[in-house]
Amino acid sequence: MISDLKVHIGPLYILQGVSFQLRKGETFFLIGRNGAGKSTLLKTLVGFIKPSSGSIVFEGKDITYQPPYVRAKLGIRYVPDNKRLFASLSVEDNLLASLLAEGLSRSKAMDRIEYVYSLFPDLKRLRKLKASQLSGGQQQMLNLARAIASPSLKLLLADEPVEGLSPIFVSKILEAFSKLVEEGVTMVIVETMPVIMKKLSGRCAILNAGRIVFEGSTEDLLKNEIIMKTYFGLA
Amino acid sequence: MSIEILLSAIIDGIALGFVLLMLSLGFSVIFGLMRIANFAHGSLFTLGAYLGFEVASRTGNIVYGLLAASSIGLIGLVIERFLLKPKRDPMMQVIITAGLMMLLDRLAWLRWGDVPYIWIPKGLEGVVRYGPIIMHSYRLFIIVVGIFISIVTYYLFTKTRYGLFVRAGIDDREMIQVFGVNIEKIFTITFAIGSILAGVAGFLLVPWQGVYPLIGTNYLLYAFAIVIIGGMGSIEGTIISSMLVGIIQQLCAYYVPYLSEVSIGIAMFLVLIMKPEGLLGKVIE
Amino acid sequence: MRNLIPFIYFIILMLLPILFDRMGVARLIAIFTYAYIMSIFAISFSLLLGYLGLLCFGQALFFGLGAYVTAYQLLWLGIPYPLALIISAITGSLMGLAVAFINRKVFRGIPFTFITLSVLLIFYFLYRRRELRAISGGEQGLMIPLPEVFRSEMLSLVLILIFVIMLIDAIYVLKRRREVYGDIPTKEKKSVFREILLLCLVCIVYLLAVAVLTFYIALKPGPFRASINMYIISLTVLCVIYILLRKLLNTPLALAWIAIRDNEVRAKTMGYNSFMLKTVALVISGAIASVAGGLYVLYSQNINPDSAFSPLISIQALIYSIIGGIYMIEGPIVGAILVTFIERYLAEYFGGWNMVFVGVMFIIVVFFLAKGVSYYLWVVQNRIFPKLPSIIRGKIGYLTHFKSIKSFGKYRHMLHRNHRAH
Repeated sequence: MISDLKVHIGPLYILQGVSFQLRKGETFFLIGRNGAGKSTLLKTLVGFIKPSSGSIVFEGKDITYQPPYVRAKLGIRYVPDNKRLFASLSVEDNLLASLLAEGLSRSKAMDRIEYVYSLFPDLKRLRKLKASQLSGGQQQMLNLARAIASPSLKLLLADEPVEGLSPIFVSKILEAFSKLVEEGVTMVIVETMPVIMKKLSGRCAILNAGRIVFEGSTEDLLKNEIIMKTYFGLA
Repeated sequence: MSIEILLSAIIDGIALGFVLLMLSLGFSVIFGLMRIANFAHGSLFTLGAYLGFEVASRTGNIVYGLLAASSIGLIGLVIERFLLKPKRDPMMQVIITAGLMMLLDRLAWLRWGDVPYIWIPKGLEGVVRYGPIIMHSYRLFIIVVGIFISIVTYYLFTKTRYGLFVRAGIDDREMIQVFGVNIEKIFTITFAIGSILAGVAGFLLVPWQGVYPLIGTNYLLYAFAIVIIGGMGSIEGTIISSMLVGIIQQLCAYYVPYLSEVSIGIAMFLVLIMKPEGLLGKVIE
Repeated sequence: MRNLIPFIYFIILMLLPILFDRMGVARLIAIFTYAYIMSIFAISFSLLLGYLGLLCFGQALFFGLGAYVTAYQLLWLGIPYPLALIISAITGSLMGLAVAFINRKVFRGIPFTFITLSVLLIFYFLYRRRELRAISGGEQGLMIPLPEVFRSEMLSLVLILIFVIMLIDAIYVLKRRREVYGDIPTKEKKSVFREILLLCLVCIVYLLAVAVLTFYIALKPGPFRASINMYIISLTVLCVIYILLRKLLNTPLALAWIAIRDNEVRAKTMGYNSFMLKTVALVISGAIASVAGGLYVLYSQNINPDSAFSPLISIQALIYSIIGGIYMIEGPIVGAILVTFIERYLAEYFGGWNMVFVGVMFIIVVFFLAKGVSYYLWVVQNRIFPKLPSIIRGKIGYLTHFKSIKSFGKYRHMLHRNHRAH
């Protein structure tokens, strides 16, 4: 499964010719300063933004101009950086909505929801609460849970999944990610902290002002002192 | 101030409230989900009233009238598909619906003229007595139908898959697509349902207030107030505020006529200034 | 010499009543009068929509206010009409200020539309109350008698005012050109001479036209005079507003408006105070709409809540503006005349279908002729005239010199909104 992407010149010239390939089952990190275009790249992959040129090919299909709901059928899921939960719906309804949207029957959906609860017992406890009533960490858990609930998940696009979370939540989310890697899900993760990359190895690329300036494996990145200093302020 | 008159006014208010609810709910959901301020909604109300009237007065059967009124949903479908879908910019949608309102109102005027029509189904002309209280039987009928439709609509929006998608879509239109919902289809269905509600509401009002070409647009002004007060896109808010407005309007009509419309206008204005999202609402640009 | 084109149009319009009367369709005079008044109203609406992207459904508020305030002045305060109009305009601008203040938190898009609509509705509902019959006139409305001056035959001399304004303007343009381009080389002197000759020619024609008109009116009985005088006054006011607005839209203010319309955030970061700019627009728009209302009161000699504050009036402005084109001043004028003509004059031939036709036309314009009829007319003008044989063009070239975009104002080429989300 290859995602060969050349998204040029997005809105307001955000993405100026980005291309990379993804191998099936690998974890790919997108690093970069704020405003470099990482979120925009993910949004273009999801379908919220239409690129002005370039193409996105997923498993042989050209999905560049397809709306998000078509991409969903191919197994692409998105975890946005500002949670974007369905605020007035309950936790369980949030999960239900994401599963029914795929076309699952209600009983299968409930099965999947039970599975999600097994991964995130906290959510089970909170299932009837309105999404807006959860704490930040819990909301992010729900955010992620919604995306991974899908049984046909092939590609997960996560935008800063652990931003602003306390260590407990971070570790829970990392657990979930590890499980996904085991299951062979391809992941594109936008990150600003090296913590995640230490735990999950894979490839990464650095995006700066709309272009990729570095591409390599996570080990290489972590060993590269210049990069660590410039982008993460660490020696 | 006798209790009987008060109760009578309240019952009338509830009946009106149901009619307003059906009209406003469609408008509110359409705006909440699709960000379309459908100014033609009132015209759909008018057309539903006329169509239902035509069928009902010929067949003498109110059920057929109701069915005819629901066919407005088809018109709504056509409007959404061909006139609204191509241009999704919010301002353009307002302009298009405003023009549509004018067009439909004029068509109605052309076909049926200025004179108001009224038709009352047999068996519902009279009044019902309960002890000292006198209630118009037709208004009770409206309440019954209103309750029935409310239950159906409630079921639709809370228990079905479609309802879930609509509620999720009102919260976040883009994210629901990420999970696989074809939002365009949901839009079209929602618009059709809203239109059906408007048409049926229009017809329900015929035996009570009659029908004339501008009736829908007049009541649309009330619907604006209701939706602004209750909150755009908030289903609970619309329910509460339409009942409130219905009751207040009738109470005022009975007791203090000079306040009825103005009070609602002022309430709308105050809400807009102080809490633009409405009392319970969630949508503001 | 492009400045002369409006002159010529004006002369034609000025003499139309004579034509109509000769053709036996005198009622077209009243129809066109109404169209001019509505043009003024539509201009006020279109200014907000085309230049600022603000859809003001409460525009009838200013119109109705202007109408009623004028009525009050004429009926109860005995203020002469011209002064009454000015005072109404001031009232309108104050109302515009109030509306701007009310909107101060959300001054854009749909919230703005709804807030202005709700303010309008308050007035509408209020005035419809039977208890306020004294000031609203109830359903019949207030009756306003026509001031005596309208029966006079000398009123048309008001047109001299326009003449003076246009003359000053033309001379000013010539002078400025001289300043900008320095002293004119001998070769050019010929064309300048030609231009001045042309100017004098047009002036003479103009004055002749006014004289003809005045004589014609003098020959006619009282009521007919009133109707023509109303026509003339409306046309005059329309003209004055048109000229003033043209000047205004050539200033950087208009450019700032366009900037805000296209990308408010960016405009703000560039230093434009969007609130102040929008307020100014509302004040101007309010004044213009109130003037329209004031004229309307005299035209129909009657004003009631439904003809003053009904939201349908705002919708009418929308129709005129969209059909005519919201990006040019000529747009609302063309739209108002066109729609009014179809709605009022063609009724007898089409028995009601003409009204429906306007609605259909609206939909068609919205979908296919997005920039409005006037834009496409302008394009046609520009495409057809250059096709005239070049000899003729050479001789009267400056008369038909439409080619430059500058014909319609310095910043006109920036006016048309880029087709983005549409």
